[in-house]
Amino acid sequence: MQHSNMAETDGAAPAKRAPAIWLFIALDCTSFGVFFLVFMVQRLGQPVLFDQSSQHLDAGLGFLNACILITSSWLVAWANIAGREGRIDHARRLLLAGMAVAACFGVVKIYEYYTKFVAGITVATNEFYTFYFALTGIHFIHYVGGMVILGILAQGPSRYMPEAMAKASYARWLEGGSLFWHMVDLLWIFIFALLYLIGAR
Amino acid sequence: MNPYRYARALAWTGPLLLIGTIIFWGVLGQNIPPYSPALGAEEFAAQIREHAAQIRIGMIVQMPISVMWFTWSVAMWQVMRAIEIENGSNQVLSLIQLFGGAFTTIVFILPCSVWLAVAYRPEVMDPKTLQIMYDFGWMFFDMAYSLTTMQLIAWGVCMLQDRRAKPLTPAWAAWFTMFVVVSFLLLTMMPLVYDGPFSRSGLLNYFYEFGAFFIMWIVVAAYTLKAITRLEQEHWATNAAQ
Repeated sequence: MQHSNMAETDGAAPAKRAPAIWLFIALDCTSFGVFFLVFMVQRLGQPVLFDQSSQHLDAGLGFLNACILITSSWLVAWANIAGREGRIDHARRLLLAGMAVAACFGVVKIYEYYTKFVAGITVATNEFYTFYFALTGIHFIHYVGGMVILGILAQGPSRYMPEAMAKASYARWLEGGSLFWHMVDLLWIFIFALLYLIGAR
Repeated sequence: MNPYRYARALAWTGPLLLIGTIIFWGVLGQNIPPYSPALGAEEFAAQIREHAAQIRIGMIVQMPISVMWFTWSVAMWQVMRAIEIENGSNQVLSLIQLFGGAFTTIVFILPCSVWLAVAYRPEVMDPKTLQIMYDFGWMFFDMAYSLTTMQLIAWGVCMLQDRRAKPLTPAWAAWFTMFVVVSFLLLTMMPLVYDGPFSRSGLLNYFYEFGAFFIMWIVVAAYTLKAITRLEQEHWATNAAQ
């Protein structure tokens, strides 16, 4: 019984399933879309509070973080191209460079949180800051997850699988990981616009 | 012996529990939506006193039927085990799923006992005591999400490993399920606020999260039943003589 279904399945199945990561990305973006919508609806009820609170955020740091993630995304996109062309060592170096740049995002974000806590601003301060900490916090979790994925990809293909299988699997994971990282980048651009720019003078 | 004996009955306990949960936990238990944390203790106690009888009935039934989360998890485990055996007998994912299912059952049962205690003699209890007990029930119910997340991530990953030309569970259902259980991270905000969309009765942390969870429940239940039908057909096709 054990391998009764294998004959009909060997071959195209993995390639067919690779774009499934798109579904996860679409769902993730949709749920962020819902959060953004709820944010905008709540904002309509108390625009003055939201505008005043938004002015306490440092748009310069938000913009810096957007630049950091776009640069990192660009390096990861190049890593993806190198991986597809079989230049694995080059891809790994580009991934490491992408991670090094992206590490600055974490430093800036933690600094921002620190300045808020020092100023006595917490998640309970008002509804704007509830959203600020929720949206940036959930995004930060995505960022950490993305960094872990990039870190694993930077190790290169598995050394324990047969070479051809390892390379095919690596190419799929590299594409999926890169797509996820671009999503992290894209979401930050929306969060930056929504929290830092709307209401800022 | 048919390795899928009992599997169909177990798989039906998932949808059965879903219906039971809506009726007993949801409607009778006054959990659609739950009482807002923004309510004052006196106002909250008045609500509980008014609905104590129906909450008691809801929780009295919900506690024992919650075991069906575990029996349903065993049905999921049977499908996962079939895939894992075909893929080389690494049964880590099915093990994680089964433990996740067992622990999640506790997450159903324990808070219900707390809410049952709240509705037991609210007329003689201090409102603040009632409120903290009710809060405790919700903290446990919402914040123990990692047990369910672990269970269904393992299920989703395993379904993606199915090498059939037409997998037992389509990739979209696996990804959707994993997405829903990862989105439970949003509940992290729940203990930090008392009102608004992130509170336990709010737009995001109640209506959105629980809505997605219930849809996911239907999806997983439907594909578990379908998978068992196909596995039984495969079994009898290769073991027709027995």
